[in-house]
Formats: sequence, C-alpha cells, structure tokens
Amino acid sequence: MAESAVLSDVGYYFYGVVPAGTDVAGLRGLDDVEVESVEHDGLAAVVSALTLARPPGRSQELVAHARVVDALAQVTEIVPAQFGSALDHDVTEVAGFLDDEGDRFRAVLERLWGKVQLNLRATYESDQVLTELVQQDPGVAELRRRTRDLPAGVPHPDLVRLGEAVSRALTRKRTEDAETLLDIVLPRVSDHVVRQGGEYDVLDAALLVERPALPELEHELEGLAEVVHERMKVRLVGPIAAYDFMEGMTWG
Amino acid sequence: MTVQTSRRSGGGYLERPAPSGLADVVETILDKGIVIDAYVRVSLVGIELLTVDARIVIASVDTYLRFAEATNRLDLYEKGGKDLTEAIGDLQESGAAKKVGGAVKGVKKAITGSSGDDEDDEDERPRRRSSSSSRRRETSRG
Repeated sequence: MAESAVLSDVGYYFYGVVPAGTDVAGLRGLDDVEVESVEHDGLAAVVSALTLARPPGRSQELVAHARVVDALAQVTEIVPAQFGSALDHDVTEVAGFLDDEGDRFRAVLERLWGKVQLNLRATYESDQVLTELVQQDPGVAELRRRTRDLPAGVPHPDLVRLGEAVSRALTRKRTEDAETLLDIVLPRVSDHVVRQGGEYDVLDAALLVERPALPELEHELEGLAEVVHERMKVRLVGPIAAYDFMEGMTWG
Repeated sequence: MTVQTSRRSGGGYLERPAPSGLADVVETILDKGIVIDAYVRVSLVGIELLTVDARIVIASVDTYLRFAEATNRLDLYEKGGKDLTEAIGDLQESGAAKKVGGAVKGVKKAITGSSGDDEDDEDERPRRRSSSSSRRRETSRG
C-alpha cells in the first residue's frame, strides 16, 4: 500500500460514528461537500473533506453539521461529534481512531439502539402567567399596587422588590407546572435531561424516546398543547441525534 | 391503529418546527456531542458562534426590573384568561375529550392538587366549573 502524503491544507471534518453499512450517499456537509464514511470493524466514521485554511466556524457550518447528523439520526443510531472537529485527511488514521475507541462507540450505539432524541420546550404566555401571579400572590399584588404609577426603568427599590417577588412566585409556579408536564411525558421516554430554560420557560427537556413510542408521545403532547394553550405554548423538536445523552464524554 | 391526520388539522397547538433554523441548531448542538480533542487536527469553533446563544438567564436587578415592568403593564380587567382546570372543563364539554390522551386527563388533579376529585368516570359528567382562587370550588355530582 503506497503511503500517500497527507495534504496539509485538507482535513476530514468529523460528524460522528454510525454502524458500518449505513448509507451516506447524497448527504452533503460543510462547504456542500459530499459526506463519506470510513469503515472499520462494524463501525463507520462519518466525515467530509474540508479545506483547513478558513476563518473560525461560522453559522452556516453549524447548520451543515446539524443537517448531516440529524439526517443520519432519522435512519440509524449515531454517536454525534461536537461541532468543529477536523481529523487528518488520512483514512488509515480515521480507521485507527475507530479501532482505539471501538468498544466505547459500540457501547454507546447499543445504548441508543432504536431510540431518538426529541427536545420539548413549554413556555408561558407571559401576560397570562403574570396575571395569575398578581391574582394568586398577595405580595405581588400589593407591590404592583404600590408601584403602578412609578416611572418605568428607574430602579426604585419597590420596583426591584416587585420583580423579585414575581421571580420567586414564577419559580414556584414553574416548578409545579414542570412536574405536571414531566408526569405526562416521563412514562413514555427511556431517559431525559432537564436543561436550563429561559425566563418564561416552564420546561426545557431533552427526551430519549424509543421510535415505536414516538407517535403516542406526540399524541399526548398534542392533547396537552391544546389544553394548556392559553397559558403556555408547547414545542417539540426532533427526532434529532442524541446530543444530550453522551454523558459529557471526552475521548482520547 | 389510530389515524393521525385528523388530529393534525384539528387544533394543531403543538409546535413542530423543523430543527433547521440557526437558533434551534445552536440550542441543540453547541457544546453537545462527543469531544475527541486528542484526535483532532484543527478545531473550527470560533468566537462568532459562542455569542449566538443568548438564552442564559442571569438573576439581576435588570431581570427584576423587567419582571416589574411587565407586571405593571398588565391590564388585568381585560385579561380574563382561563386557568388550566377551566380549560380542561371546556375541552371535555365540547366533546373533544376523546382526543385528549389518557395521561392528560390526569393533569387536572396534578395542577389543582386536589385528591377528592374523581375524574375517572368517562360517562356524562355534570358540568364542572372549577374556580380561580378567589371563588369557592363547587362540586356537583349526579
């Protein structure tokens, strides 16, 4: 086997690992370059040739990465790589990488077998939830009464107190409502990770779901979204690759 | 086997966006996935991307003032707003109850924290009007 010189200005952008035999034909990644798979011992590294002399990662590259990884997640299990990794443009090295880490890859693929991730986010209609807080929390109601005629934007201590009271009451309400949502959802998922949400988010969760359970989960969430729609909007994204279930793995 | 199509067109409250917008992608994948630094030749992560994720919530005076302003802007007499129990009651009345999954029927109990309510009968139920906190709950049976 001839030793080929590794071009120093081209690398292999790395998207993740899938089972060998996965069809990657027609997938295009960063710079619209065709995706390839490098196979070794039942595993396949998903890569594409990448010119290395370039400015730091930009949004179109992030989108391309997600597009490739999520397209594969629709049809097979994938261990998704973090954005931005380029290996040497050397098939032997890539195969060596699969060899070194093969057992770990196989263990993760097995754990993910038949499952996909979905992201669930429920967000309060802010006016509605703030109205509830005023109606249900006497402290908030009183501070609101006291501060109604103060000029906005000026940090009067009572305004700050009102904001703090709202924040505390909102946290209590969010905790309760999030629990209710999780009670509905958790019986239908294999695993979940609760993520940090925005100010008016009720819940932001990554769900790991068995594929056959997905239609029923969607059905429950559609019913839920209708029932709660005056208080919150419910958003479900996916199936996507199991990004949140890699347990913070650092390899190599 | 249930047919899903009619459900999609009736109501459609669940947002199901394709995960392709930049904001979605950033939320979904930035800093997620396996890290293989020991094998990596070049890293593409740059500063431009790190500033896109703007959903970090910092408790601060600014946050509190924003909450205060939003609360003071409310027009309470305009905003009726059903609480969750009323919304479920209406849904049941309208005959839409059948499309609500089994788990959601239990939502009412959880939200109100009431243990006395018996929602398990699927037959005709008398009209229930569950109150907001300022009015007494009325329970009518039979």
